[in-house]
Amino acid sequence: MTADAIDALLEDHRVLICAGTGGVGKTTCSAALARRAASRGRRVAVLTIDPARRLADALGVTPDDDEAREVATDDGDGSLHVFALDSRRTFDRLVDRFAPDAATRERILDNPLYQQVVTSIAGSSEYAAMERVYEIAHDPHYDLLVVDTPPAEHVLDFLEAPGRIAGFLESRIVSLLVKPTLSAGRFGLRVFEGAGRRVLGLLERISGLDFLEDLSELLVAIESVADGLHGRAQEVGELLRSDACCFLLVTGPTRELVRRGDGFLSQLEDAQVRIGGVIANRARQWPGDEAELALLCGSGAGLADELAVLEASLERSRAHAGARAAVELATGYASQVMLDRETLAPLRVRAQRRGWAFHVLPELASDVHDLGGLDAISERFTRS
Amino acid sequence: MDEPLDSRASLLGSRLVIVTGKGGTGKTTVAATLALAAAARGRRVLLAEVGRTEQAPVLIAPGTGSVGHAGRELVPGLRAMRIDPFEALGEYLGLQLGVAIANRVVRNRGFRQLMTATPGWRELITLGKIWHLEQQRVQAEPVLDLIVVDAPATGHGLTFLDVPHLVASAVRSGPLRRNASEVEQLLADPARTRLLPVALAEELPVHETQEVVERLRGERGISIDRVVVNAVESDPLPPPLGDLPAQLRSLGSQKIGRLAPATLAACLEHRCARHALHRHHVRELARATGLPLAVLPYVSGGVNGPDDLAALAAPLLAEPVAVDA
Repeated sequence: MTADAIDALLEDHRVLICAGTGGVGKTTCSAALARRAASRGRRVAVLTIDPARRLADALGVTPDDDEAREVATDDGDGSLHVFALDSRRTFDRLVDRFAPDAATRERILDNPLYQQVVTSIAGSSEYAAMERVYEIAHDPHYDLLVVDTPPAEHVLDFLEAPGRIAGFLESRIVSLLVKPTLSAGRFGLRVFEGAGRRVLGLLERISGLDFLEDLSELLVAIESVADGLHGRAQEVGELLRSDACCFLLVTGPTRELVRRGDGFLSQLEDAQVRIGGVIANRARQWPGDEAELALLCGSGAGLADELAVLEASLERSRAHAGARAAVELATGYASQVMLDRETLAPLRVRAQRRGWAFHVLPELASDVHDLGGLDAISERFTRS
Repeated sequence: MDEPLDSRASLLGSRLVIVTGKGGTGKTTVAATLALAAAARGRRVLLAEVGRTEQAPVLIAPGTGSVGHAGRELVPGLRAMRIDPFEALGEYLGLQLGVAIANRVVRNRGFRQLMTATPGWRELITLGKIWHLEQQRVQAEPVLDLIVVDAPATGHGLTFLDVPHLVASAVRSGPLRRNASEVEQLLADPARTRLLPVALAEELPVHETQEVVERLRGERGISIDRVVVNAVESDPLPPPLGDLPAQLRSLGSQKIGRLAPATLAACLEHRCARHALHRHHVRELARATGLPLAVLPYVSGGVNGPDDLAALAAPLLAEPVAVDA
């Protein structure tokens, strides 16, 4: 598949989500894709969700900064803004927007459970990420949003987050926690009737009454913003499944990564989202021609002759050790190059069958930590 | 077979080793290596995975089926399980409320919906299960010598090991608070628990490992005696071969026979550059954490079975080297 396929993806969508297991270079790929789109005249936003704010590091954006930072681009029309996800502020904004009055807003924001849920506990960043994707995708300042996602085990959470919010708010036990309290005043837990009372009574024995009271109070307050949250969750779900949104799998050339990437593609297909392509990052590239690669990966019959020729050419005193070491090391590297190709083959085949883009990025000799490095990768998308 | 209480005892002599690291660092490989090595030395070991998928069993015993929450012995002395939060919750509620009531509660659809949407409890109940396993005794003798936990990837808020503390601070009374405190105490007990962070010799994993070490050792008081740095490239051209790429380059760009010296040079240069990059990051990791390192070699083709794991045991358990920063 050629670069055209990648460029078409950048051209045809409003939201491009880079998904994949941790450590495969999603952040770098998202940033490089965003740079590429910006250099082709699009107004691009890139959102990094990982709390380590790796993209922020690479782009010189300050951590704990919820606002967009503009990154210089060469193209006159295009632009690039970087967002780092701040779960707390995103939730605070949601509460601000949907709270019916100032008192409710304060009750939520001051609740000790609220503060811990939104800042500290796994899962909250997915909720916040979905909200942020929605906000930025609807910002008229941008044509394209590129999203870097949390590590793969969490990406399903990411997809399911909107539905989970909706399911949570609709669940009977939540309404039990909320409704009687509304009618009986703030700490009305003891007035429960029937099965709900029994379940909550059991929970109280374990968690203590204080905790349930905090929880109940939080839920009462959240209930008042529930319609807003619920509507928003549905809109986010629709956006993710629409033609405006497309997923890219970022993976690498090890058996483990390919196995997990393959499973991940199936999960995305099951979720009925649009898959645009696969980026195989950090595959070792062969610096010579295919005949040399075949020779070095061959049975070795021809290799002894080549070694003798090479030894004769190298400086006499070190010829033997040098030539032999060079050929052995190059042979080892050649076999790794072949291994990477073979390992990636099933993903390549699957992408071709489905009509997805498939793009290989090379293992680099140095780290990518500046715009020059990102642009070098961005350029790589030009070569197939 | 018993060993003297040498430096290895810090890992093999612990009751609980929590292997943590960014996704993709080889956490599962390290956890499986440690568990297998401990079992080979006669310890009764449990390897507990936390997460949606089982990854260790197939490394330790290729072709094996799922071990599930109930767990299964994979090789003599080594049992593996994947902690399922809902199963663990059912067990916990069974202890608190009685099995009959607990079964009714966890089967309640509304309750499951509530739990599915409630963040944080999975981490707590998982750690609670680990605490419970550590407590298991038969006639005052521990059932398990060593529990190795393959923890969820960090870089995601480091929340797994923070949750007991959060709960102990948020919940003011009752059994939940007491249980959270007990888990917190187990984690911070240097006589029982070690954290084993796994990093790669790359810029961002090094940075994030430094954060993990500072946070979990500093704030949570969890003991760490070494950091594992995984998949480190060896020096491809030890002296006196260092200038070999330059010599090859000097032969010109034409092929000699069927090979171009420039191609060979490019292969060597790439490998040397990767090695230099790794060496730089290994030093940086040592400097940033101030901890000894266990340096594991890069394994071409990946770590795919018990033989590969056995080969990594020596560098993992060796006297950790203080890398000259």
